[in-house]
Amino acid sequence: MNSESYEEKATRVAEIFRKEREGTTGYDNLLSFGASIDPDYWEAYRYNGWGFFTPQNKRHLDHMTREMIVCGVLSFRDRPGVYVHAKNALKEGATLNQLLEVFEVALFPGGGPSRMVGLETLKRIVDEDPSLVVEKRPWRFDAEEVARNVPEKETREEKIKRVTETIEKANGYVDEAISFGVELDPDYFDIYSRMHWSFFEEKEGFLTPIQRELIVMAVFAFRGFREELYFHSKKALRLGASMEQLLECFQVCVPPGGIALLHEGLRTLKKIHDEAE
Amino acid sequence: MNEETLKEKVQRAKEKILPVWDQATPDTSLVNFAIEWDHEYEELYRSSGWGFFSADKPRHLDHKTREMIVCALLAFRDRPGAYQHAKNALRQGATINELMEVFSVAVFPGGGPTRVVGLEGLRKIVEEEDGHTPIERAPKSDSEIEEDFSNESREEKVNRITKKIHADMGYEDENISFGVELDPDFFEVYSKVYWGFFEQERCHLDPIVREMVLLVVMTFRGLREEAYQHAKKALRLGATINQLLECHEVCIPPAGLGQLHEGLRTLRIISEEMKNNS
Repeated sequence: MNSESYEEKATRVAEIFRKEREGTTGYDNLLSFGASIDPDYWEAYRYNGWGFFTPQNKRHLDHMTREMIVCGVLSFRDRPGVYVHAKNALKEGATLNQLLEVFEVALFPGGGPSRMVGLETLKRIVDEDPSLVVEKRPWRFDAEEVARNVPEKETREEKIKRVTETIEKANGYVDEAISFGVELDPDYFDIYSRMHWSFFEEKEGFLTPIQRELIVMAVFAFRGFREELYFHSKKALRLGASMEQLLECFQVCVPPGGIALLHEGLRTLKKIHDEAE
Repeated sequence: MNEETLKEKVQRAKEKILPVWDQATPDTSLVNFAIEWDHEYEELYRSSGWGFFSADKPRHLDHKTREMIVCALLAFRDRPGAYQHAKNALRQGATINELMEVFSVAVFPGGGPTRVVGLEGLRKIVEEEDGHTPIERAPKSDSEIEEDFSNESREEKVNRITKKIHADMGYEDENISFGVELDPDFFEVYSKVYWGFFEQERCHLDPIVREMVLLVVMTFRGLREEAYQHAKKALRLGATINQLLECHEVCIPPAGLGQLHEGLRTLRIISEEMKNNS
């Protein structure tokens, strides 16, 4: 390769990016433009960034899961890459319902905009390919039944106890700040716990519980929310994930989230590792 | 309900959700799409998310204030929802000037883009709707901006600016003192906008609402020291812990669950300090 001219290298590297994005962005994209101007940097970025993780390079996570994690982070950032990586995930065998669940889960650490960005993306994909069909969830959730199951006559104290227990069970740990909140405003936490701490629980949905935790962790790591990242990492481990899988989750997020995301993740993993020693 | 087919359940969810769909968003194609693909999640989200807070259910905050707080956060995130919630706030009795002040205040924790996103939304509303006219702000009181400090020494300048900033903040921040000592000229100019601008004028918003706007954006960004200080300032101005908690509660839909966790941590620290001091 050393004998190739700068212009030849620029053309070659730009072509790599163009080919990779074929079928997703559908046109000669911005990365290809960058590569044509500074092929040395872009070649290094290509092979040392996201390029390290290819469908063939099977490590601790399958490539579909990697793509879905990246979708979660990019949806928080409201980036068009969500579309590109959602299409990549579909190519790797993901279903539209799985991707929808990615954005539903990403809402917890990322808020409604994460889900809206995801919905816009998936709607675009379905508009382009109407053959995609809705699947049934393995379990049913009936919001009205949950509401009916709330005791009619309970004291404020009983309500606080019930809601706190629901949240702690879903979290898998006791959070004093949450307990403080429930004590102050049990009505609000009663309703919110149905959404944020009950809907998915640890059930197999379109995604596995571990996949859901990885998505939540990636967004919290990006946002620098250390306490949440620590607890969700521990939850993922409790669910059966390995340290290596958690690390790979942070590694694949360096391109969409920056190197600081990896640092945040490593701090958390080291803390958990040191505690176990 | 289990005998219902998926199609029937989707239809039932649409009948339940669409009539109460946010009036500021006439395009229902996205919510329709969401219901068709996952009606269970969507139904629960509508009732347990923002749906918990409705205009006819004032709790610790009135609905106009909730909408304005959400506007600030969405403007920081550069989301079209800033425009939609600004329209909701107007329906609840807010004025364009009040909303403008929301975005002007949100610049402090969120930077200029927050204000620009807000301005774009407000300009769009003013272009679409008749009847919005600027409300004149009352003239300035005895502003120190008019005073002549040309003969003061560097030390006097440092003292004056540090005092002004600390008076506005309500506490002494050693980092700020350090900064003023290093570069008094910069801090003199900046203190005119960032510390004291709203205090020196009769404004459109209640000072507590301004603090709430600052608080939610600081919390979203994970700026703990600032969130703590602004929560304390809001309490000093007369806000209650429950009002501040509701600030964070209404921000779960635009900001995610971490917002509530961060907010609770701060409020819990303050609450414990208050208990220890009493």
